[in-house]
Amino acid sequence: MDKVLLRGEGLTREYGTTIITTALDQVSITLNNSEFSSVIGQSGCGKSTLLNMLGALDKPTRGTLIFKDRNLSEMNDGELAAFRNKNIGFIFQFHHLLPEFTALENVLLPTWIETRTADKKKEARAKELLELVGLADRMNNMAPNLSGGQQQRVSIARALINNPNLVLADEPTGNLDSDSTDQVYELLRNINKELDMSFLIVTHDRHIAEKSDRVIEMSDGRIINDYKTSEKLPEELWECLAPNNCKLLHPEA
Amino acid sequence: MNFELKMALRFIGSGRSQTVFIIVGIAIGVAVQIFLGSLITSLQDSLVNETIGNSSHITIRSEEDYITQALDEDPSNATFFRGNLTNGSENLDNWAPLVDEIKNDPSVTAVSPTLQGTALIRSGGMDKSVQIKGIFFEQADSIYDISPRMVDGNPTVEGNTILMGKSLSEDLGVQSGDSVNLLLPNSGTVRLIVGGTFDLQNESVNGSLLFMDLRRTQKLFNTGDAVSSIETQVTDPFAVDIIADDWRARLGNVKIDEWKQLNAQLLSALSSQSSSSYTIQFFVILSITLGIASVLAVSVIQKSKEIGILKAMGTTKKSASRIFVLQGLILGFLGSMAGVLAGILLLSAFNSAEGLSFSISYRWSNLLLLAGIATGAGAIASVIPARRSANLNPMEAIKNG
Repeated sequence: MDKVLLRGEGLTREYGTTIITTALDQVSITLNNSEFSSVIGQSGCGKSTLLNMLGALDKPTRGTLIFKDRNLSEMNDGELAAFRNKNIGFIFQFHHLLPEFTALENVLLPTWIETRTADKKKEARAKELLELVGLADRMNNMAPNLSGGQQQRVSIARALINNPNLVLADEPTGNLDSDSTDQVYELLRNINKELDMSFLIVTHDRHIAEKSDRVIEMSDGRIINDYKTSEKLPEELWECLAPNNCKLLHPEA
Repeated sequence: MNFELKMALRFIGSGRSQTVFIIVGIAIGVAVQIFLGSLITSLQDSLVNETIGNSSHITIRSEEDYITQALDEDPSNATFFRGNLTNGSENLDNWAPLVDEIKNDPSVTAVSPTLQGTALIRSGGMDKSVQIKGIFFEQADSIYDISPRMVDGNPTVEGNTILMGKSLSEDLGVQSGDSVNLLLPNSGTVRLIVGGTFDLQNESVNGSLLFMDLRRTQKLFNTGDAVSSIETQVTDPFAVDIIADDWRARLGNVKIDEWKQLNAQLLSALSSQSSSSYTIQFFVILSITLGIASVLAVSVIQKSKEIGILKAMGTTKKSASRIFVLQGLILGFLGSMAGVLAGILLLSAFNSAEGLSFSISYRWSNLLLLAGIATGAGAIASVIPARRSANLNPMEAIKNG
């Protein structure tokens, strides 16, 4: 049995006051340690909202979220910020490096936020991580002087610097060409295995979803499918991952 | 280096033209403030110095008004009419203890007992009415600065040797070494030697004043040991009211006049000049504040993505706002420093121009105060942008790609 890392129950997120839009509707989800999961679904189905909520960027309108033993729904803004800093690594589609800083400095940002000052040990760790993502020779380049794939690899290193338990990635390869996509995916998968971190990746890419441990499919703010890839035959899985196919295969879901 | 400071510096560095514009803007404002402030202060100092630099700041006289006394007394015994000694007050008889008492006051820089009277001078068939000041030369010198302003002769008074105003000597056609006749009311003629002439840069003084030894004057006017007033100067001329009040309480039966009472009109002119200068300075600071605020407001929008990502990585609201407060402070500080530099250059350019009746001096404390205020204005200007940064929703910022 996998050890539970995070458990959300009845997570609901509503926007607006007069006209209420429900982005997440009573979602219950459990993430386990060392798990590599993909979240798929059409645009606007609540994937990013779920990701932001699990990453403590957003608070649920209703429902509870327990990370290890801590109830995130009861924390204030400051506690949530500190929580994110230590436990969650974010990787975004649009790299979001700070252009005023070098690759190395960007990787170090979360440590600066944590301790408010620079730290030699952390700097060594950042260099290691940049080596891990294959950018040892680019660490002193300013962020805008790196290619898209390189920037995304820097942001992966940045997500890992504080040794988070959970790395959340919102379409990390959505903005990259297919070569870079493969590289980034391989990198994420390796880190998952080597550093024993959980990954939750929002993706439109069938190839990535196919190679995950687990696939979570969403539609209209709900989880309509949640399975381990190892439980399905390759052909079946490929069919499932084709857009809209899952609904046809499992009309009762 | 502190994380927020690092962020603030990099943010400022990244918007280079914005940064340069606002710093130049602040610098111009601060330079104008420095120039204007120093100009007004120096102008006032020079006016005040002209008014009181070489005159008594606080004058002690007898409390008793001698005209009233004259009416009370038997007119046949009214000896004090001789020489028309004073301008209305009785003489101070017991003045030595007063002088000792005043000298002990640490704010006092000069004390000079003076006997003043009027007489006629006759020379070459011409009569001129003159003011005689009986003084102890050294003590009077420290108030009137006579020695450095001698035209010729020796700066001293002794016996019948007197010092004479420059214009008076020209009018009478006498030079140092010459002798003149002094006509005293009811006491005949005394022969005096002109020991030197002085130029106190005041036409009415130069045209009518004689300095004479105090003891000699007392003898001429037959006043015994009395003087008509004790003249003093103090370190801070603007504190005379406080000092004078203190003396009133301590010295008892004397009349104390401070220069401020006698120059109320000048002082009110100066104070309205000061308040218009403060008004201008206030509006300069206001526009500096608005300038910084608008630059930071734009910067928050430009940097919203970065702030969003910093927040996703765990930056707190407080920290996110502090980054902008620091930017405000840094801009204010850099602008002020540039402004102080520009202000000093402006002042030295002004001072090196020709044909000026006075030079503008500045005080470092004042410059630093202005720089401090402009830096503080930066912090105040950053309040709204900082709040916006604090409340920025990271998801919104990140979603917009």
